[in-house]
Amino acid sequence: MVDERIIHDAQRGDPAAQRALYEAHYAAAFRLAYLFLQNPGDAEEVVQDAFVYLLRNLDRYDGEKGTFWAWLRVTLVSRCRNKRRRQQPPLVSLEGMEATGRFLVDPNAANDPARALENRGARRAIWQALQQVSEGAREAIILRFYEGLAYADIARILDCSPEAARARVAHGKLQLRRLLDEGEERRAPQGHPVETARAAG
Amino acid sequence: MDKHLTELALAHIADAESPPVIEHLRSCRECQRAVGEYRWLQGEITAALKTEAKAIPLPRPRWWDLWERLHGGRGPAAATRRLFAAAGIAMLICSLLVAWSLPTPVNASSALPPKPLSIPLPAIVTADNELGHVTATPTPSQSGRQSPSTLTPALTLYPKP
Ligand SMILES: [Zn+2]
Repeated sequence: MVDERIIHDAQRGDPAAQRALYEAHYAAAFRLAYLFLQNPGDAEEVVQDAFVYLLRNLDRYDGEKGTFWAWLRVTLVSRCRNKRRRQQPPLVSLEGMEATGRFLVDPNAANDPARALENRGARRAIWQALQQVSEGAREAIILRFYEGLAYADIARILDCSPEAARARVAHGKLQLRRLLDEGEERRAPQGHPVETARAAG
Repeated sequence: MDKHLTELALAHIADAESPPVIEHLRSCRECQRAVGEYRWLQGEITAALKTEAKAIPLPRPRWWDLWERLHGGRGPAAATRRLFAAAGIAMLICSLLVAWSLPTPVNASSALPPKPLSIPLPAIVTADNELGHVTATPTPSQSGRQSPSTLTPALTLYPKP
């Protein structure tokens, strides 16, 4: 994302370089934090906290061990997890479950499921179902499918073994599929959205 | 044919970094289809997460807030806030001083400038000597018209030729 020279200047205490480092990573950091927390205000706060820590400890950064983004990501995810632990666990919302079904049985989807499932409504349904997946599984899924990380990297970030990271992702997908099935069944008993879409595609 | 693979095994296989060689999977259409569905779901998860992340409005980076936290309130934002606070206090003191130095307001009616005395001009009187009639014509000020001249005589007698 940023070249090593900026990081080097930032480590030497150059405020312009530190600012460049912050601004270059701000959007990506905010978005990742938002996926973990689902609250823009909390995401913003966590990003600021993470940068305060990183810029105070810039001398500890070693480019040989990984990119600045990788270091930021570890800090960010750790702070997001702490924040969530301090907060009340989110309740499984009936509204969300209804929405899951509603989006997947959109009238357009009945005629052209493949097209409808490509639309934002279906993705929104997956996002909403993801909120009901267990915490550990959701975290692993975000790191695997949004950040595209290898299981070894996910394991380092979530402080578990690569096998545990792999198991969390698999369990998460299982839960997600069941949630999507349930949502679909409540709204329209005619068929599984995944199967329908695959059959059409 | 042996038993189908478990859902968890299928979910694992769909995302395995090096897919395991499983004899059952080679021959079972149903399990192959299930693995395909999990792969499709993975793609949809990625798309859903990317869509959601992009849809959320990005707040403006707050570098100076960060700077202040890093340097214990010595940033430009803190300096600006201190400057505004000082200016506010100075303005308050000035307005208090100005208010204090002003004379105390007196009774409203006595503070008004004295009203000029106006005496209406008497009516113009014409004497009809022959008939002995005397008619009074209102002066412009009395009739409400603007006086053409301030030299309007108070009393004019027009003798009959
Ligand atoms: Zn099978």
